[in-house]
Amino acid sequence: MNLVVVVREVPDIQEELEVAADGKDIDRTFISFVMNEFDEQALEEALVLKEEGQADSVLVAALDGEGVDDILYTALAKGADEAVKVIHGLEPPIPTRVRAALLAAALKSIPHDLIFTGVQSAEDWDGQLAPLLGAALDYPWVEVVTAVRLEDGLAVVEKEFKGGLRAELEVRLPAVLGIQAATKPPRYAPVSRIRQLMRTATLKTVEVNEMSPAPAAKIRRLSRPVASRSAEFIEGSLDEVVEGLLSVFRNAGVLRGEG
Amino acid sequence: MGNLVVLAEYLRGAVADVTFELLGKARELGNLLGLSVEVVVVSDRQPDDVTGRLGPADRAWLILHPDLGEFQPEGMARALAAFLGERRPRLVLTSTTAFGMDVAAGIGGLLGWPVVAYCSALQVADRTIIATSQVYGGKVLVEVEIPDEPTVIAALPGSFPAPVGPSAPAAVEIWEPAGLQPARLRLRRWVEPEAADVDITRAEILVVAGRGIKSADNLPLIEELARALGGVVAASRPVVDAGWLPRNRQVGKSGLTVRPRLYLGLGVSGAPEHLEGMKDSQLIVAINTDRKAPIFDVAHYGVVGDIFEVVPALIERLRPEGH
Ligand SMILES: Cc1cc2nc3c(=O)[nH]c(=O)nc-3n(C[C@H](O)[C@H](O)[C@H](O)COP(=O)(O)OP(=O)(O)OC[C@H]3O[C@@H](n4cnc5c(N)ncnc54)[C@H](O)[C@@H]3O)c2cc1C
Ligand SMILES: Nc1ncnc2c1ncn2[C@@H]1O[C@H](COP(=O)(O)O)[C@@H](O)[C@H]1O
Repeated sequence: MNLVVVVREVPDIQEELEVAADGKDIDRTFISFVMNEFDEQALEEALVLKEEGQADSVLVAALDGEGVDDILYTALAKGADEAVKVIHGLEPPIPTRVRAALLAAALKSIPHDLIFTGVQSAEDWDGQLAPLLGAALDYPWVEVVTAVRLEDGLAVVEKEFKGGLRAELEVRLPAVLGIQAATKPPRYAPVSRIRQLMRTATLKTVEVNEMSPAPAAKIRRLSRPVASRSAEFIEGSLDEVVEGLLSVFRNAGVLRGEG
Repeated sequence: MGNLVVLAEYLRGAVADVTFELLGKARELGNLLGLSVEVVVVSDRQPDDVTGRLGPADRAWLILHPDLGEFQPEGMARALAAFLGERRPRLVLTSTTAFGMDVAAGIGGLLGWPVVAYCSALQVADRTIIATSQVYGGKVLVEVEIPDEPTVIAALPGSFPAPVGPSAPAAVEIWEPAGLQPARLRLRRWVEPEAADVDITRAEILVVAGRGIKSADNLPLIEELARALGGVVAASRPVVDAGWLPRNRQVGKSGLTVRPRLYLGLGVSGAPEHLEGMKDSQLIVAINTDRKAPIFDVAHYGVVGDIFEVVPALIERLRPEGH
């Protein structure tokens, strides 16, 4: 049973994001990239299945792009058996549907029984990858998966609904799963191990040809949200902030038993 | 150009509230564009009293297939794609719920139609439909022009308030998909949520721990503040996924929807999936080191500061002996 985990880099949203001068993308000059947090969950779930002996191998694959080598080496350091970089020739931002087409082409030369990816990424305003990849490969797909168990030719998955309700679904393989959360928090890869692998391990490459542009809604502009109601900021010294908060609580009638 | 088609989220015998939000928005757009509104339910039988409630659609459709009685995301997407492909509507409206996340991009992928996800606004300007999506954890908005071809929209629940209530549409028509490929996916069972020790939907004061609390070791501090305020500790998803608090304390899209008298967010960024579950709280106060955190867009009061400074000082001040 070969698992493939499709991962991607996304801008670190904890950092400052600026809109590019032409307003059509974020400014990609000074941003740093991290692995999409839901791809980290997908990778963790795959690694756990391998450790439990439910799967034989875990291969990580990513479309080439800035910061991709780092996340692939990190995935190897966490325990993935192989890493494949898919070379394409397109400039970011790459629409998710084009990503799905490129990955579907690359997967033809990568043995796989089950494909994992994150439930969503910060950039897929034009659709999530798992269903698009499932449709491109003609495989079944399930989004919002929080648990995976492997049986004969089947994945038994839990898909999460609101309020903790889950559906247990059985899916015939091969299939694509959009992982929301692994059964345990993603492991940490020691930096020394990542550095070592950067010297000793090689990333395999698969080259795919440019896809014809998929229809997409045309971007007019990006902007920062304008608050529907802007918070009143409580400022000043620590004492002033604390007094400010207390008076807000008091005015709202939620402060009981004070003083 | 075709009509506006709302995909009803019909699960376990009930139509989700978000379907009525979408119907309300579709009605508004339909009036502006001169398009009629249709609604589609997928089921294996004529559900009692469901299609009869899906007003104010002009037409209601029931996609009827013996394999589609239980929740079946791939089969539902394929049946809907077959139905929609014949009809080529102007817009297909669904939402970014657990149902919509499987179906929206699935239909877009199967039919080669554009998809707009995380949509929080839809407007018409000079007969052009413009959609706004929330991306980068709610820190950036993308405004897109809907092309002149059928497009699938997945809206964030709660984006279109003033939902229209149920009423009977003019007629319910049945459509039976032919040659649907055999199911590769099957529902085994529903797993109900675990019983809660504390019901965060009933608490008047919620102290909400986000990833900014950094470690489970800091939970006692948050709990102490909650106690001092007479409230209950709730959390964002990462705190629950990390196993620091049980699932039934989670606020948001996949957690619970809360409307406390006081929501106090500590190190919560305010991602759209979190806001979905708390933005109607009566008083929202947030403490976060990042002034640009989207939580401040819905908060009434904000403190740009470190919870590890502010919270201990607040607890100190709330202690009876501190006076
Ligand atoms: C299908 C789906 C469903 C989801 N459902 C939910 C849901 O139900 N509920 C939910 O919450 N999320 C949900 N999410 C996840 C959501 O997308 C976000 O990942 C999550 O809400 C982020 O949680 P957070 O704000 O705690 O963490 P982060 O976004 O990491 O934010 C942490 C914040 O803490 C601040 N901070 C750090 N240190 C300090 C300090 N010392 N003092 C003050 N502030 C500090 C940072 O500035 C940052 O803003 C869902 C996602 C998906 C895809
Ligand atoms: N308890 C409250 N409930 C709801 N909104 C509030 C509350 N307190 C203040 N606001 C809103 O927060 C903003 C700042 O309020 P103010 O303190 O009146 O300057 C205004 O938009 C108020 O309407």
